[in-house]
Amino acid sequence: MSVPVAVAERMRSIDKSAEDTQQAPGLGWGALVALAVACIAIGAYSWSLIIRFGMQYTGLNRPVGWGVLITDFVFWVGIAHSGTLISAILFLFRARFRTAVYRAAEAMTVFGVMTAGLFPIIHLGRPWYAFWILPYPNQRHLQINFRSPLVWDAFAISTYFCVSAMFLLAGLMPDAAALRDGSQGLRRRFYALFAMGWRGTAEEWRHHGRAYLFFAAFATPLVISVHSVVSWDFAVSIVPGWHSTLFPPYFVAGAILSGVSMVITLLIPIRRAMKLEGLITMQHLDMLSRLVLLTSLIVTYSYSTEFLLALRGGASPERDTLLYRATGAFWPLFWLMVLGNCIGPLFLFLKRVRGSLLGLFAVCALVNVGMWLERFNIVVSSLEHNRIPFDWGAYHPRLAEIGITVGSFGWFFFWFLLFLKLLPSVSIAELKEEAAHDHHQEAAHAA
Amino acid sequence: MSGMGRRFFLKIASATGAAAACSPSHAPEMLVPLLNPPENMVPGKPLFYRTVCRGCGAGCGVTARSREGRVVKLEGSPDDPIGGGALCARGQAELQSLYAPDRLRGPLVRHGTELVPVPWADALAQVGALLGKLRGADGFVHGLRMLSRCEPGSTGAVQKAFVSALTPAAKARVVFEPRDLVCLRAANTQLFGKAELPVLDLSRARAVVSFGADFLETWLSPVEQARTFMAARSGADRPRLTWVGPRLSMSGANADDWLRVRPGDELQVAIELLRWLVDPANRVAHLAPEAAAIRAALPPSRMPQGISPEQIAHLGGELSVRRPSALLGPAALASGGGGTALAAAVQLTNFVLGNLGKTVLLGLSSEEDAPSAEEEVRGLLEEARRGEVKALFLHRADPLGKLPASARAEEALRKVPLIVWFGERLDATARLAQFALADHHALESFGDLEPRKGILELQQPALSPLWDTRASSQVLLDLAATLALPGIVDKDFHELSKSRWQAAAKALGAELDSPHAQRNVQARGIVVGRALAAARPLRLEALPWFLGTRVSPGDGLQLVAFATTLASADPEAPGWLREVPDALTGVSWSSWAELSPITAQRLGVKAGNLLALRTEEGATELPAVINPALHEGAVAVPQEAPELRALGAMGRAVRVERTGKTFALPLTGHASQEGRDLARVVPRDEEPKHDHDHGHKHERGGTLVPPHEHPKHRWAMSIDLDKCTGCQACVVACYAENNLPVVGPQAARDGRLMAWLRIQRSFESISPAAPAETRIAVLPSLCQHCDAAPCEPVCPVYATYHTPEGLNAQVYNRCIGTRYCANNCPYDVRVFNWADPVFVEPLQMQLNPDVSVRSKGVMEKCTFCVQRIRYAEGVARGEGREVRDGEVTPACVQTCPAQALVFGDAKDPQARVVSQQQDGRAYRLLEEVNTLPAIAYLARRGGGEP
Amino acid sequence: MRRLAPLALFLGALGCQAAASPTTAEAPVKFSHKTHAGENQIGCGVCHPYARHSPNAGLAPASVCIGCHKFVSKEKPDVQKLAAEFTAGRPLTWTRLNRVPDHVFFSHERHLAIGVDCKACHGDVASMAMDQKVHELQMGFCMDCHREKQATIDCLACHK
Repeated sequence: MSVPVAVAERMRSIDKSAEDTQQAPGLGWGALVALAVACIAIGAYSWSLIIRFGMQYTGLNRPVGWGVLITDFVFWVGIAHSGTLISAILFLFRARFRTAVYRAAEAMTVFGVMTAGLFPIIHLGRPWYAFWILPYPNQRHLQINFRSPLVWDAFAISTYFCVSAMFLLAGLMPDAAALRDGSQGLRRRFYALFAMGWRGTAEEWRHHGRAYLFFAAFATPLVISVHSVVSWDFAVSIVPGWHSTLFPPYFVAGAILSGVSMVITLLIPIRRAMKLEGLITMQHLDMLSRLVLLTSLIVTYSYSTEFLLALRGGASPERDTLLYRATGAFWPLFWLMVLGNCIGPLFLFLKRVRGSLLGLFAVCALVNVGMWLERFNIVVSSLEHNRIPFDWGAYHPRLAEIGITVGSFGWFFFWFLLFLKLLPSVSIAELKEEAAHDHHQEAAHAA
Repeated sequence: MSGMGRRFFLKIASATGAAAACSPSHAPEMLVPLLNPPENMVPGKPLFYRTVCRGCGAGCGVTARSREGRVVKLEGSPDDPIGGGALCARGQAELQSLYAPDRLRGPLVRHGTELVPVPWADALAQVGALLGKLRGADGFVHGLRMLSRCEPGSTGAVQKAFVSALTPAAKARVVFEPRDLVCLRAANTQLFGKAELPVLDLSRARAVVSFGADFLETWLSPVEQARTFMAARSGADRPRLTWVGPRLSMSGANADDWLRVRPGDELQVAIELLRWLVDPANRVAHLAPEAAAIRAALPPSRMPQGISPEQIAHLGGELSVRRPSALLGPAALASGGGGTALAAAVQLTNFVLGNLGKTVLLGLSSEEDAPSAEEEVRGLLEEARRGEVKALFLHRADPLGKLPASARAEEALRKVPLIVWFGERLDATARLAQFALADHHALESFGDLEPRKGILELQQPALSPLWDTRASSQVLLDLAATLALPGIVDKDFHELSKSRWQAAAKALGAELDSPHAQRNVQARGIVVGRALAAARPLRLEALPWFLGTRVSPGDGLQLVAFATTLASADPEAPGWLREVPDALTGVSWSSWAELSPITAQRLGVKAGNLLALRTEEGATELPAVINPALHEGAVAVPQEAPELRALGAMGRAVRVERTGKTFALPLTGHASQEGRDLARVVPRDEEPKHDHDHGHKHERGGTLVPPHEHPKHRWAMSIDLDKCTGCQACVVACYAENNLPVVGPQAARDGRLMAWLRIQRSFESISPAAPAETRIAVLPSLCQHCDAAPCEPVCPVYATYHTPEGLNAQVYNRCIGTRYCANNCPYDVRVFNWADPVFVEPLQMQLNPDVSVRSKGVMEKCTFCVQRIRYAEGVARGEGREVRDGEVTPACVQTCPAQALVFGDAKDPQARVVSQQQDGRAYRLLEEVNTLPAIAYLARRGGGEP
Repeated sequence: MRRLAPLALFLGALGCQAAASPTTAEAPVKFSHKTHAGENQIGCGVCHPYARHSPNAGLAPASVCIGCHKFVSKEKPDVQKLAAEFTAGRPLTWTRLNRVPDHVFFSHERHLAIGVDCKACHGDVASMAMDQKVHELQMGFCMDCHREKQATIDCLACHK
């Protein structure tokens, strides 16, 4: 039977997106990569200062022991969240709109974790002993302390990295195979690596489907667990402003909010640059923006709960700390955060805003800023106003920390740009499957 | 997949293997055994030497701990009745002046504008030759003068002999003590006919009134006074302390009442108080018979501004019933007629109340070498200005650096053709000298000292001289030999001082016949004989003289110079004294000027603004600090501040203006407790009675995990806030004992001071309405060694944990520097190494070999001086017994002059610390977080009933 | 042959690692524990005078060596060298063989007091003509013994 034009049209555009990966990189792409590498260089130099001359190159002091570096860590872990959510959870919920966007989201996740994973090492006083945090047999009979949230972190992050990486690779296999078959020489070798000898037999498809489902099911709880663990870094301590049972759900919601916003902020330029409008449609973006709206509401709720709990009852260190957070040295940052995470997303109730690329981009970009500030406020303001007023202090980030932050963005985008160029940024196989599936349904209707 | 073959894999594997195998390794170490091992010196074991502290005039006995020939720690000598085993912050820091990097390493001679090194022989020959030239036919060097610090011992004797052999002039040797209590001396001369200073026995005083005398910090004999006063305070009948003055010093912070007067009005308060006491209408019993005569001589009444007759009556009433009492004053830098008159009024009141001979003892101050009066010093400079001084010997005297600019010392000294200077570090005066002869440090030299009658202290070297230095007295003896001076027979100073102190010791009844007995005396380093206070009749004819004097403080701002226990403002002070913040203001590494909040507001000044201060004598610039415990009529400047020299003496009228510039002042410490009631006070009447349960109350707080087992010991501490004076001797002792690095002003600004133990000061109940109500609370803050320590569970690598002896341990070499423990410590007592520590040559010689020097990137904290615990345990084990209570003392406890800190084993029911922790006033810091600390604080008592 | 190159590299690396930490030390004069401690039964305390009452064991002061060698086997060239150095007032320089890691406060006194035999750490020196490092004195080595003897394994016992 003949294939209707519409379907054929989509098939072609899908193939095109595959071909794009084959073409020689444009000038713009090269420039971006160069920029990213430059940022990495800045970050590397900044870190070398800290390694050589000690933490004096940061703005940290007594009593503020954590600052921008930990903020970055939490921020990037948050970024790393949407991927799994979109690809795994939505897959389990059979949310169709995911297919177009999940590949990019997953890549973001993997690179996000790769970035986040650096910070626990960077912020150490003696990073060259970072491996002591891992449980390995040693002649000194020394153990690690499983009661410490930092150890939980090490496990949570590494697990999350492995799983999300495997998930990404599993999804890539068929596409990589397709690309392998369509290329020669070094390229062929490269794709062969990702295809893992995929031949596309029915048997393989069956296994692949199962495996994919399994990974999805396996990754889903991680979405919740990872950021809960990260939140415990704070919640387990007794620092006023950290010590709160609210933190795990609050952080997870925040993570998804920041993650999805980041996906949108990245997708909008990508679909333009790579002409994927045909595949990543406004409807997809609309769905994602609803997710942003939902999580932002949860986050807003958490903020208010946090404050109400602190303010009720008489004077307490918690109360002082929270008030200080909103009115103290960093009050502009606090209110900018509220604007970004609570007020901005409210505009997504309006279809007009959800419909306009510019509006959507603005809201999500603002959320990204807001989420970074949220972590900064939590980390710094609480430590600045701890329990002993005599030690109340101030923290001002120094160049080295800012340099490392810049470097982390460079690192993240470096990998992301490579991914965009070398691997299909949308899932060809699944999109084709969908297209075919649509066609059959139409055919069925026709009959 | 042909890419990843077995070979390729092997390559990778072996490459990584190689990388792993090439770990850095130690260069081979060399061992060089001694040729002949010295006796009684065992490497790895400490040796203790007794000597005396020359940091100030008090003369506390010192036990110097030496390891492998280097002195690593100074502690008070328990046999010494003055220091009583304690040392103040400055005494502790004497160690750093010994190892000061800028100490002279040999004699210097002037070469044009430069002072250049010269061999001793040459230096002596040249000085001898020059003196020889100056000698007249009669063999005298007319116009030879000597300016020396107070040397009550052989050194002084040698100097006197030398000078008198070279010049017939009467006052050729002037004793220069810029910090001496000249006013008190002058007053005593007038009233009792003797230029002497009293010795205080505050243990008997039931009330103390201080007219600006910081007697717990630097005034007279602070360590002794802190001990005796606080001993009395812990008694059943708690003496009341009243502070009269425009500014609360740390001594004032310990007061129960504060009569807050304008600068200069202290005299008026004293006179009105005296008037009230001698007024028959008030029926004060047992007054001295001269009371009537005194009353007759009193000037007409004039109440000082801001003081009500009721306050005077209240204080008078208190003094009339609380006998004996002690009135102290004035401050060291109080000067001029006002100061002397105040001193006289104070002494007269003591006399009337019969305190003399009970709490204020006269006739005990050393006969030897009393400091000369101010006039004599200025007189000498005047002579020099007239060009009459041909040769000037300076012994540890720095008129140029210490006298106010108005004395025009430089101009005078430039007229002197030959200046021979003795000292350790070049000072302002030394830069004008022809010869700068490097003297031994007190810890390197022999000598003897009679700080007061009945006490003889031996100065004995605790290490061999670090550099090519010589004892100044030895140099004088050598000169005397080359010049063949008549009457000086001794060649060797050590022999001279030995024969001298042995004579003195015999006089004090010491038994010295056998060499063994001699060694015992030297081992104790001190001879204490009996000396009785003299009863001094009042010279009534003196009365009109001072009661006539009037000081009428102007209405403008006036200069107040105050003493600080440390020396943040003194550029010449050792690092410890500069870095440890001034307890009251929190300033380190800088001088400053204090304004009251009201004045600051009026002038629109904020902390750190640079102020332009101007008196009739001169002008200078100082950064502002806001001090709520200061009278709005005063501008207070630390007496160590070099800028003070430009402004002149106390009591001057000052004009203060903003310069518009600001100065990054290293300032630490939030001013208030924010109502969190950390440093508690219990009102006298509400004081809970001693209950055995209280000490353990906190342990009722439930814990999820069972509390730790402590099989043998559970080390614990108690800190009595009623005794803590905030003098910070403990802080400096901690620096010395635990190798804490000095990190400098920038680190101080960044909030990165390394102190394990800090005095947290907070201004309480500050109200512009009633500034006189301002109170200062101090809280020594160190690791609480919690039983449920929040820092322990969060460390990922077990670098911190709870030891079987109850210590919260930090294993530096396991720490990876997450700083999580510091964040989670509710007491903020954990300290992070932001950079590698720097110990400038030869300061590293002071490092305690029993404690690791921590590197950058690791956390560190108070260990209760675990090395000292181990040492005591070792000694006990050696003697086959258990550790005795009080045998283990961390450095802070050991040196506390007020004995506010008690350390011991909480598992030993007999231990003092246990009874202390069960005291009714005991409480734990931040009990609400249920960390079960090992330290109990004893709340400060409210003032006793009048 | 090519495939052996990496292996060689690896072994080479191990080699230089081994060279880094000496297992034997060249001495300024030929000194044999076998002769002194073994055949002549001289107690350890004679030449390591501080071991019993100090953390450091101490090394024989030249004066102690001379004490015997004034009379004993003067003819041997090494003894003559020793005597020469001593009279010249030049101390001998030995290479350290046994070394505990940094950050360890080890006390010979404590260990001897509870009767630990020198052999336990230093091996049977009495039978060594040439000194040998018998045990790598690493933390694990200490821990094994402390565990076995139920001695304290509190970190602060050694780390301060």
